[in-house]
Amino acid sequence: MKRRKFIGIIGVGIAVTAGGSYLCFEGFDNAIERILKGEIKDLKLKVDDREIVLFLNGAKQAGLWESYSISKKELIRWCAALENLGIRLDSFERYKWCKEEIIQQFLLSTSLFYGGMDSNKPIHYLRIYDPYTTPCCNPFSNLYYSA
Amino acid sequence: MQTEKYDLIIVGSGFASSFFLSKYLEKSARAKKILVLERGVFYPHAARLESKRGRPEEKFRNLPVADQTFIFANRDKKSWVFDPNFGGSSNCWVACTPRFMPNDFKLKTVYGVGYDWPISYDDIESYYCEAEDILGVGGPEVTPFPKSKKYPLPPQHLSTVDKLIQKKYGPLFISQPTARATVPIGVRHACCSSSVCSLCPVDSKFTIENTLFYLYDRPNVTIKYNCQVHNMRIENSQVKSVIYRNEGKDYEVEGDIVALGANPIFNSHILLAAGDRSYYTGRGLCEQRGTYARLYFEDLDNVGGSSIITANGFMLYDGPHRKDYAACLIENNNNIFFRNEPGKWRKLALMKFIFEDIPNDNNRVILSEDILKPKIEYSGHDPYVDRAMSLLEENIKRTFSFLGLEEVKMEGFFRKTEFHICSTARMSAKPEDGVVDRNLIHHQYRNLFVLGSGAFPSITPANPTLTLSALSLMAADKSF
Repeated sequence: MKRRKFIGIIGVGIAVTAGGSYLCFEGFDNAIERILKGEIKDLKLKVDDREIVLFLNGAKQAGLWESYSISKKELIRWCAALENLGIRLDSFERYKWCKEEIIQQFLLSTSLFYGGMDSNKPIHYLRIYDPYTTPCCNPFSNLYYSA
Repeated sequence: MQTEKYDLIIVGSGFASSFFLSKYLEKSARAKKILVLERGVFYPHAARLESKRGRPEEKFRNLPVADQTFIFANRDKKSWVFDPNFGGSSNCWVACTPRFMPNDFKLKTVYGVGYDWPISYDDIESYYCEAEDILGVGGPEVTPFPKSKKYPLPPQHLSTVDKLIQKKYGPLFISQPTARATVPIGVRHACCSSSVCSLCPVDSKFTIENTLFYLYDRPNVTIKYNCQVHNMRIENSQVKSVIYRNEGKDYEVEGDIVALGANPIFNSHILLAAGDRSYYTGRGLCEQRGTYARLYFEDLDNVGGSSIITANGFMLYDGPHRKDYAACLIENNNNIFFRNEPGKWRKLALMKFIFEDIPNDNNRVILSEDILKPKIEYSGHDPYVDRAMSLLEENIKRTFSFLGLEEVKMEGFFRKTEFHICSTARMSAKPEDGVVDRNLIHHQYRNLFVLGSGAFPSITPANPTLTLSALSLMAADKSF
């Protein structure tokens, strides 16, 4: 085997191992954070990174992700990691729904809808959206808007 | 076997049983001895909330779920949902209480499809009023169905979108009549739109527990839990006793009168086990079929409504189209949904379209090898429903285009359940056409009532609970 070919194979091996390790050890919380940052950027919302950290801590404390099945968590983790490697997954409907669910859960836990739905104002984390710990929290109801 | 004797034995403690018991107690002597046999347990609202918050009490950890109580081969396509515990489906209902329309009771005569009821709207009207009082229903002054009395509670708030639709369609689009209390009543709090009605966090919706529990505390009423009735002993065309299982052992208890108030699957199962060979017993099992559509608005925010479902639309309900395709009731939802588009967050409506079905004799409950478990044979709904579904998108666009629609997204499939099990012991004027008479008394066994929505000869697109509760009141009122 020529030296150049040998180095090439070793290089590819290292890249595959590094990529595989990255995919295997990418944490679920990191995946959620990455998804949120991406979606917030797309929606052009004003959210400080600290608010995302507060949300992630709140979600952990409330056991928010415990309602997600293992397969759903794995799907989110792997897809978020692949996206981070530049692989576009826009047409993968199941992942798209998961992302929508995550950003919706985040937005419901912030001041956005309780503050007149004004996307130009900075958005703050309030508390994890859960009608069983905070009832009366439908932000679109007559308690917050008059028809 | 051990034998006891009662004046009245009631099977189950849900709406049908509790409303029947309420009227029976009102009309009968205090000395009457009543036994209620409940297959499940008393699982209080407070304990249910604790379970929801991840802190379940040990004794409620492994309660049977509806799905495990019967045998059904088509679980992937269809489900039948109920709560097999004290209070029955009052524990999990969403508390929507529209009345049926007058023509629902004469579907065959007016439209030539389905079946007529042996009673008219006028026959049940006063019992509707009474049931609405007990349930604490909030509703509007003007309704598409006639009313002799105002609703006991004020109506819910309409949303911005509801108000525009009501302006166009008047009494065909109304604030949904609901037993989600619009103001505090008794121990119930006012609904504050938490939008998780299957278990209300503030105990606003009517449940048997929060309003009628006192009936079961009467000295002459005994309730036994964990007692599943699975058979009856019939002698000389009279029910002599019921047979129930408790902790693996069978018991027999005698009653002068028996009222089956389990759901239509289990009522018919008990009848079949007891040897009822009426052609219609167990047949016609059905429920409404429902689907969602999302209406995207160009420039209209949908906000300000109260409760989880703000309004009912009757624009696609009654009319000559019922000769060809199913009536449809519209529910405008107000739960937590929005668009992921800045500036357009709530320029959206989520509507549910609920179709009536026509009972099909081949969809039925039969006995299985397990004496405690009914078996369900269900081949699907009537093509009458599919015809309505095929026209739905066109009908939605025609009905709502004035709102400035950007897009209509159809869900495109029927939901697996509407949570309303109907028509397995249908009501008829003549014994050869059904199982029970106009007072819900079995045509053959004259000391036996078969209560609940199993008695519906045709099911209409409207939620059945108010009607089945009114029927229980009427049955007891006319019979005692």
